[in-house]
Amino acid sequence: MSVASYAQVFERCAAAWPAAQRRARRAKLEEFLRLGFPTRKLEDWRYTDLSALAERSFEPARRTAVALQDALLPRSDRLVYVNGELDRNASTADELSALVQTETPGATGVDALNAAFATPGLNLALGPHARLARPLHLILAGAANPQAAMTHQRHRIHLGQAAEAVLLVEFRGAAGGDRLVTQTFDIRLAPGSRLRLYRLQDEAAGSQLISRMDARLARDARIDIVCLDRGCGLARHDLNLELAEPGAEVELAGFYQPAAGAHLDNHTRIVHAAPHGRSRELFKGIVGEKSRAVFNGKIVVSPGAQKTDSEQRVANLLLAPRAEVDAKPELEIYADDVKCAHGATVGQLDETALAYLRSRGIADSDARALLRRAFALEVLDRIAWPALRDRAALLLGYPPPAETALEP
Amino acid sequence: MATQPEDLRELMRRREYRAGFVTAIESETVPPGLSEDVIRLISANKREPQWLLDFRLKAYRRWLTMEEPKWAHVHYPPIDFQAISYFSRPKSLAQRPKSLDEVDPKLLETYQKLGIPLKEQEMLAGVASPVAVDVVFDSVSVATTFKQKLAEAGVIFCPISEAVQEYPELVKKYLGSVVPFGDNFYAALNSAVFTDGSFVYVPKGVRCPMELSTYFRINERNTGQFERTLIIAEDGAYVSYLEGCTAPQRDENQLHAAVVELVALDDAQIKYSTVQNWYPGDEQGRGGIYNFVTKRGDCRGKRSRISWTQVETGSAITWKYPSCILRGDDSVGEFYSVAVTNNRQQADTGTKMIHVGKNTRSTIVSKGISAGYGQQSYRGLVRVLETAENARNHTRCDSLLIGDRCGAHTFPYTEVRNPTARLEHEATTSKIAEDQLYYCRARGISEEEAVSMIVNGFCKEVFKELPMEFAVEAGKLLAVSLEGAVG
Amino acid sequence: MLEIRNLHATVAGKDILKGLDLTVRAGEVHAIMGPNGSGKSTLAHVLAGREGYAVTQGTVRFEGKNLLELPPEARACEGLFLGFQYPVEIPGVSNLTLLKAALNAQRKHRGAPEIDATDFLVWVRECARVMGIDPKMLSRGVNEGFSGGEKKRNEILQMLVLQPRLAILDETDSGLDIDALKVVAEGINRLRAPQRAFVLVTHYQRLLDYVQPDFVHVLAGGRIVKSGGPELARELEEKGYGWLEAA
Repeated sequence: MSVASYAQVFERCAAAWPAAQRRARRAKLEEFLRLGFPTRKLEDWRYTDLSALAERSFEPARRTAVALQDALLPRSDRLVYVNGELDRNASTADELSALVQTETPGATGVDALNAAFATPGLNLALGPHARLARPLHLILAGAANPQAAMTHQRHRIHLGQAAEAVLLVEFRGAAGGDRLVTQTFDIRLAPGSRLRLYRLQDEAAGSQLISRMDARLARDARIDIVCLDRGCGLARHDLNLELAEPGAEVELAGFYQPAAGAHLDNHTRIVHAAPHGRSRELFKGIVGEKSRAVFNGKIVVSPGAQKTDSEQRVANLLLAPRAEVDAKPELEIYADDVKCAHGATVGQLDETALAYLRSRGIADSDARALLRRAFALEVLDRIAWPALRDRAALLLGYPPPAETALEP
Repeated sequence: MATQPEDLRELMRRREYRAGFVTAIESETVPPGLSEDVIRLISANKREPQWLLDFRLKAYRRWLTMEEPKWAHVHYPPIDFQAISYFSRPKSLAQRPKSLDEVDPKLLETYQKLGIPLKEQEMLAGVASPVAVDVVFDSVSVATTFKQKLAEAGVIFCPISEAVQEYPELVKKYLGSVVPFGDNFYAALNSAVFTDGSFVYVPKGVRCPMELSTYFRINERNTGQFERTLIIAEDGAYVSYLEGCTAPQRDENQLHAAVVELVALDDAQIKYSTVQNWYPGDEQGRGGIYNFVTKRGDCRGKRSRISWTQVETGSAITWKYPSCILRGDDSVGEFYSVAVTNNRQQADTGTKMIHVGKNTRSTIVSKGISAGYGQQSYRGLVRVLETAENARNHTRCDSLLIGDRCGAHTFPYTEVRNPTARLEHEATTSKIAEDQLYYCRARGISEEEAVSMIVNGFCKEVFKELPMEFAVEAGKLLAVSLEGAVG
Repeated sequence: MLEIRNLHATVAGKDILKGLDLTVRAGEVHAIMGPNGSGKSTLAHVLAGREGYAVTQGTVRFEGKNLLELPPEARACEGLFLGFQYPVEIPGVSNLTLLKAALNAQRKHRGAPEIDATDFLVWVRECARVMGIDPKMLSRGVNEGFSGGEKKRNEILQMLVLQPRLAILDETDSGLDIDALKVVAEGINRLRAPQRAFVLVTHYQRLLDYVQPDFVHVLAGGRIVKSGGPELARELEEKGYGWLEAA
């Protein structure tokens, strides 16, 4: 395995960086060169093979024009990056953009690569009791470059005591082009703070997206997350949530529907490190022809995290041949006074329900669409931002049925 | 009336291992160390044919290139494979006894003490539900009972070393056909140095007239036990087989790396039950057996069925995944497991169900109980290949925690490549509910007995899969394993 | 038989019983009535020895012994029986297993040998017949999947099998239809004897129509505020508890 091309690109970029940054970046590069891309021998990368990336060569991506109209949501602020570069015209909150340097715990080669090349990203810091006036929409867009290109960004979201924010992180890409994108988020929630986080992924077929979010929740902090995935060539998301202090709460839901040829890998890890934490996790997926979905959800209850209450559910519909679902819901429990349960299923649409609908005169294909929609809505309905909910439903192919459109 | 942690610790020390004695017997033991010469020696000792020596050497050479698996959720200091003796047999068994009368009385006494009275057992022949027993002491088989009666039914049940001499074609055809010599680190080691174990062959259409059972005993210090078991059920055959294991109480760890291969042809059924009670080590985690075992069943035939039932209470470390390859259409694989980890015991156990054929079904029921500082993981793989139309799996795994220093972990892997498959997995982790304990105590039942009752209830789904007499034994064993673990 | 003096008890730091006195002699049936939250169930669990119920003052003597220093199982072995308001389900443990273990624990406590397996079965079946419980249910898990009424009948069945000296029945009548109530009452009456006593904890007078009490006590605010004969129960039924609390 050779990752030499990345070192060459690094040397070309290095001149542009201030001397103060260069050393830290070089250390990260060396770490990357030593670790390389994760291989399937690592338990956490058993189902997602990045080894092909080692032999590839990506130039730093350059900004080009992209269409964003369909992404715009009313009554929200925007911070827009195209190919990793801030788009001031499209942004309403460009003051939040900054170069963020944070350490990533348990870093892999990808994390080192990201840190070595990182360009500015969202830097949101709310003081105690502050409240973000409007939802913030972070758009991380990719556009076609003449040659294979890469983007690496780091972001930070720190909420002070009892602060509140609503954030949508959107990964999107225009068709065409071959991209490697890595995005790292450092999220810290001080006591009593609350973050509603939406993660929407609609990358183009040529993209390889690797995202990582690490969130630490202090006492009584709460995070509500809805993750939606469509598209992409290969997408790997790591979502690490640590309930570090008593009384923290996590509500996590996800829905994935990979396009033909796509490989989607959702890794979640919820660590209950303190007593009286509560977590609920629901991931659902519809997997069609020639696509592959991986779900790995780990719940860890650390020693002493008594009275933890944790539930995890994963449901997959495997609807076509030449498709694959790999699910691995894990429990790792080191405390005895806990309530933990998980369930996972892989199956098809309910035949009895289909027969029933058809007996009412509904065509088979319509009946199937109805059931798929019902399956997806369990997650989509958790989006508490109506404009986003409607857009996401439309994007995934579940527009509101005609009869409800008549309602005011 | 809450039991305080101090009382708990005190209670834990009371745990007894009742098979922990050593038999004072003269043994011939090959000096520690592993090399091609040692393998040649084992092979020559057993007067093995060239092909088998070649099989061993091939495995050994492969093993040299392999690394110990690290993915299991267990921790132990590195094993020095050169410090283990790979062959040990009681001197009196240099020539295999022709009948029980020729067996060294000390050995018979050992088995009597372990609750397996070989002689009486033979005399009781004809009485209700006899069980044929093969007993393996360190590296050799001591005796096999009921051989005559089984032979009348056409069933072969003998030590594998004897099968190599008497039925070389059968052994050659099936040995390594389910677990290839280079399958994994421990399987390769076993293939290189395996000494004894049982061989079972049930011909076409025969229902084996009695339960078969092998009793494994490690006695000698610093030896490993590397048994190899091969069971073949021809078309329409049925056999139920049970293995039991014990070892003396010693301060150092001993290695047990077995390979078990099962082959079920069309309409055949194999029921394989294990009651594993190797010495678990003391409360500080000193000593105990490292139980690194590869067990795999091949449902080669249509409508064949393989059931694994295991009750794992012993061993310092258990690393074991009895698996089924569901190759034949309409074949069925089952795995029922109760595992207990107390004190410093660690277990990483589960199963693999590989669905290849059409309409294949698998059921997994795993009940884990962790107490003391015990760490236990369920690790299971359900894989549905593209060819496996209409595959079905149901997995249920429940963990019960007793005390706040133990751990229970669940790692289920699901890989599905066929859109007609339906898989369900459920898992729960809980502790014994306070109100259940109180309810029993309010009826006059002591806390320990109440826990024992509740735990047995928790395991019922698995115990009912065991042959009757062993189910009772398993229940008792569980009670002993958890003695004093309760607060 | 049972002497409770100035009993104070707290649950989760809250004072529930505040100076309760009660004397029960052999052969008597006492009914303890009172509004919800008055401490009726707390009294039952304090007597049975449930964890988390802290006695802060007072004494309880049972047959001359200090009941409060005994663990729950020793109290049961001494002949105290608590019929649970919410009987607990224990999956996988059959009713027969529980009953045999309980019976033998109590016999062992008395120094008696274990009961013969056949005698045990005959005895349990007889008790089940009285309670109208299908013998098949005896092999099922303890209260597993039982209806509310079945659970209550199962409690009385256990009482019949174990033959306690003092039975405290905590709201055994709640949630029963009239037929089930009659069966439960029949079970209790069958066990009435000069050497045995009962404490019926109940919210309603209905059960007392079928099991005639010798004494009726009203528990309110953690103490017994009024005691009387069976007529007191009828008075409560007519007037409710409000007049007592106001008093």
